[in-house]
Amino acid sequence: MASTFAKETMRSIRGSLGRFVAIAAIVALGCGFYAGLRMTAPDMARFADEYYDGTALMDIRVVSTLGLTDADLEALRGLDEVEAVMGAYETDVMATIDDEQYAVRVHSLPASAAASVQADAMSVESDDGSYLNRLVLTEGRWPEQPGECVISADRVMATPTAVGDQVEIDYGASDVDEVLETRRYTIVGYATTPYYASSTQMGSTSLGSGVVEQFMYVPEDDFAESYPYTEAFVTVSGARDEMAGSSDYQARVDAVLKEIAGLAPERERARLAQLRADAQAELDRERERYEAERADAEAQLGDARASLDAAAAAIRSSEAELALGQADYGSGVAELAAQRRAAEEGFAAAEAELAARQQQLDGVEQQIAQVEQALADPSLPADERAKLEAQLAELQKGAAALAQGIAAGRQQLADRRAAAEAGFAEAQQKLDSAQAQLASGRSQLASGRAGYERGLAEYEQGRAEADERFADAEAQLADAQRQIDAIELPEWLVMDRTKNHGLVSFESDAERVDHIAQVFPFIFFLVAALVALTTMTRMVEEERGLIGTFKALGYSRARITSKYLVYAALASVAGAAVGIVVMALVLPYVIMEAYAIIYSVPKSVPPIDVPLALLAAGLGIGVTLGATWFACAATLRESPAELMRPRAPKEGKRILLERARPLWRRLSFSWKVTFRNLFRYKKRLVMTLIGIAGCTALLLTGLGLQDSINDIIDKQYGRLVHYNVVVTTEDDMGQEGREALGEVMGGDVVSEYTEAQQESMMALAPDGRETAVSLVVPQDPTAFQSLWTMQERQTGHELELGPDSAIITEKLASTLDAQVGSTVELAVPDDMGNATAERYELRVTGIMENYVQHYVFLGAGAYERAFGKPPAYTATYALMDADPGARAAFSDEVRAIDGVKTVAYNDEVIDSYRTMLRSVNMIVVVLVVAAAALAFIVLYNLTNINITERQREIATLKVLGFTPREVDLYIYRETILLSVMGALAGLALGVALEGFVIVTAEVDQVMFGRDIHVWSFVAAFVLTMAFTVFVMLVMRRKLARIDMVESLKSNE
Amino acid sequence: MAFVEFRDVSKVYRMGEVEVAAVRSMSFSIEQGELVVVVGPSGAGKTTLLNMLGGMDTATSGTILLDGQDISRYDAKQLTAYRRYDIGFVFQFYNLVQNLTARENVELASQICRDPLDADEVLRAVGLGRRAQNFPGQLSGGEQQRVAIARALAKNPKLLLCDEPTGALDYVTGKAILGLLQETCRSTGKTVVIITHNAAFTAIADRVIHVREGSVSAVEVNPSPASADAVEW
Repeated sequence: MASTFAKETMRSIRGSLGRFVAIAAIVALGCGFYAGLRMTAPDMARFADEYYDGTALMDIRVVSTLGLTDADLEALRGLDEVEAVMGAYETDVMATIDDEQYAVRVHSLPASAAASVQADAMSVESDDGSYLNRLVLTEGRWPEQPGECVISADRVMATPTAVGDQVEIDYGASDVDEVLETRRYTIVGYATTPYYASSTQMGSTSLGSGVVEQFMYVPEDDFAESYPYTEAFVTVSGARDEMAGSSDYQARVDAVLKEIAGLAPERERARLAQLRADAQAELDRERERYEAERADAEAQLGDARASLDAAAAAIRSSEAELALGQADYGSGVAELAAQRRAAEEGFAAAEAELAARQQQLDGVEQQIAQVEQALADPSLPADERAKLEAQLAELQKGAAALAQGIAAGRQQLADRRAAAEAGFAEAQQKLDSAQAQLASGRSQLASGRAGYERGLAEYEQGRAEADERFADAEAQLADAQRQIDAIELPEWLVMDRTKNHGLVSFESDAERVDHIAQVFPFIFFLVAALVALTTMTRMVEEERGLIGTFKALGYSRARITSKYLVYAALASVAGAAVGIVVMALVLPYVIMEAYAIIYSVPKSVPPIDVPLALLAAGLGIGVTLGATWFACAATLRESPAELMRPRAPKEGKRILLERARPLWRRLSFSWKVTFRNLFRYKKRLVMTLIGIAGCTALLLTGLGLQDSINDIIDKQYGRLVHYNVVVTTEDDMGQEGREALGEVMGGDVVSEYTEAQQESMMALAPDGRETAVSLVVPQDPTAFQSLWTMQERQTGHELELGPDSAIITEKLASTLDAQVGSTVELAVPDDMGNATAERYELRVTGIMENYVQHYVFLGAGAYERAFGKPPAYTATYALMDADPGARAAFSDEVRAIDGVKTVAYNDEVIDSYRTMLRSVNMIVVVLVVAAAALAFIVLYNLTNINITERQREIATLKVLGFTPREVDLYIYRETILLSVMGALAGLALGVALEGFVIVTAEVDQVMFGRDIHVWSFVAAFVLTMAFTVFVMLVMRRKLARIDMVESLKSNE
Repeated sequence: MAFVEFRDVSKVYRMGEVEVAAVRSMSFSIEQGELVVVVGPSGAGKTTLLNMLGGMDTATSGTILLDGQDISRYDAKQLTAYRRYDIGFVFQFYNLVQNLTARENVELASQICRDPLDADEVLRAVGLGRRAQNFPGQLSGGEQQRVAIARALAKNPKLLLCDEPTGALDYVTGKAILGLLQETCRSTGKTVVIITHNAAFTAIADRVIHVREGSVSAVEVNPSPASADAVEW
């Protein structure tokens, strides 16, 4: 179209570049925002797909409740559509890294990892086709020897770690020593993996606070040899060629899921049979060993018994001998005594005879004496004498014989006596020696008997012990047998990617962006239409005469309209092209950059999605052309003659405000003319109001979003939660530990503490979705509530936690669609974080304000009724000194206590939300820039039209002697008034928009704050005014350039 | 000393490489209270003269004096004050603010002055006492020009500058406006300068300045100017 008409069109563009650029810019903004935001979700999905493919992310994860074997893996490999299978080990542990305790999931790292090569940010190449969920090493090196590990590069830790730091495993979900070879690891590197796409959604666990906080890959060999594969990762043939998450992809995966589900029962039975057979064989070996041991022991015991019996017999025979000897001895003694008595009797008789002879002798002696006396008498007759003398001699002779007989008797007796004594002594001696023999025999017997008794006791004890041991062993064997018999059929859990928290979270975040994308650009398109309408209307009006001339020359209406349509089309195409290209590159990048803080999915230069770009361009261009056509239509209907005449200036009119006489009279001219102008050009009024309102609304949305997320931390940890540390202990913690803990808690650094039962549960929504919740049963609800304020959010009404109360948190209530009075179902999670079959029902008595995670608070009575057991208060909530030194000391003290499991500080949670806040800050920047651009275009356009349309008026004012300042104000009063009105409307609009964005952008475990702070309102308003002032300053030059000579010219 | 004096005033416009002299060493003087008509064909430099005298443009060389002040040496700020306080301007196309009533248009000027006349009085003086509340769109061309004159007068300026005041008006109305200007000059003693291409107006002037090709070709003083009613063209 190289006609003169075309030349004229081109020249009119050059002649009104400001106008052309204004249309192009607003179209660029509208199309760009629309295209950029709409492309973000597909771009995120595309990069995710590339990344998942490039790192061989598993399609299916098979977990068995009793572990998997090589045969299982082989069976999986044998399935038709299965591409690769990788057996892997994992276990959940609590580990301390740099003095902070984390719930860590430990994975096995295949040996192939070390040889893998990172091709680019999206892919890792490996010769090993069955090396799945490949890790991207971001720092350090691969583990080379046992005791080395790599950990998550993305996870923001409360205390930053570095290569070389130690990981100390404290305890695990299962016995750590049976699973891992070592408890101490050294960090040698950091990695990311698509398996953990999100650093804030790593999955749930039965440990710690219920969520996995860190992952760790250790060499495969660091897992105990006897430990079976915990899981198998599977890729599906052809799934790589499909877009991750697409229905085609899902169809392929579903087919394999079905195959695996078909295979599972057989493998489950095989695994059961194998486990039973292995265990039975082991048990049988055990039994054999036991039997042998038992026989051995019995034999030993039998020997002991026999020797004891022999000893008893010996004792009995020596007892008999002794008795015999004793009897002999007794008779010997009796005999001796009898002999002695007989001898004594003989001696006594002999003594008596001797005594009788003595008496005889004494009588003879007396006769002698009498004779001698008689002889002594001189007077005695001699005869007599002689007679006497004869007698005397006779007598003397008799006496001598007697004395002699006595002496002999005496001698004889003495001899007999001596002989008897000698005989007696001999006999006595014999008796004595027999007695001594008896005594020694007796003592020998006693000691023999004592030995025997001892032997017997020993034997009996041994016997009893052995019996007990045998009984124990028998019981153990029986128990083992029962256990073997009780091994249940294992269950295969077959999960696709939709069961991976991180992957799902990434996908739903992309969806959220798309939801927002469908609403946000609406403002821009609306404003684009209005800007095009007012601008083109103005242009058509300016060129009235020209249009008349063309018409008079015989150009058709369509041809003339085409000039403006071409003008508008060129402007909007240029704008759309630039806007779409720039924003389609920038917006997805910025948004992904923001998400990169949480997700490991890498970002790259996003491709431009042509259909979407065309749609965006079509919308923008269509809206502009429509508005242009509308602007032309009315004017073109006029006749050439009418068009040649200047259009009668729009008449001044009284406006509604003038009816308010007292008010109107008070206004100065400037304000009167301002108000009259405002209502004179209604299109412009609407355009500006919507544009400015949109700007303020965007600002308020951005700032409000920041408030809402800040509030998560500020409200949760400033107003609601007052404790800052939780210590959990073993269920069976001893009295000593309990006292020690009480002592630490009673110390100076802790100002308040109270105990509660705390456990991880799954809450079940009516649609079957599972949500991880923490169940808390305070021991002393009053003390607990002074550490954790329980209130309704909107009313601030304090909630009472009585023995029968069940209070749930607000977000949980909305997730479960529960109100006060409704019933909520809970289930205990298994090690994988899935709900187990048994359900516990609770009646909700209150719904409390809460922002982070989901909680269910129960009174002790309610707990006991629901779970059929009394609560075990194993968690201590405390408020302590925030001083780091005091804290370190406290940690050391508490961890040293036997039975303490975890010490967790709120700071860790706070940090992870601060991370999230950083990603929001980028969005806020995008919104503020968009708002500024919008405000600038709208205000620039309005002011531009205002100035060009009123050039004569302005020139006249200048001629009248208005100072530049007065001229500026004369024009800008309108702008300022519109900005104020627009901004106020924008605040209202912003509240609605922010509400929408918040609800759309909210993540699962968190409730964003619902309030926008006063300061954000102020800031949004002030910023809008600042943009206005900026535009006014820019446009002052244009005002200053208006020549006074314009005032002398006629109307067009 | 004359009330207005142009001494050797030149104005050269630079159009790219070419210099065009719109006014070349122009000299003339005007006495206080005179009704002056500047007459000449299109392109003679009338408008340039008007621009310089009205403080809308500066001279390239020469001196312009008004009431003893050298306005050719004024900077932009001083020129604004000069326009504000010393000059009343009447435009060919009236240049009223469409959004303001007649009275408000007058007040628009008077509110920025030091010693303005009462708006209603001025409007009565120009014969529009009863249309004060009307918007320009509701007034005829002559009435609009009267509002414009009232606006210029209300400022109580030293000099009333009129650029083709009848240019957009029909014959009868034009004569009436001319009469109003003459009447104003007589009754208020204001110096009035009318710029026109219409030689017929010279009859009513106290002084006529003929302009041709950028310079003053002749100045005539008319001792007995005719009444505007008598003028015909």
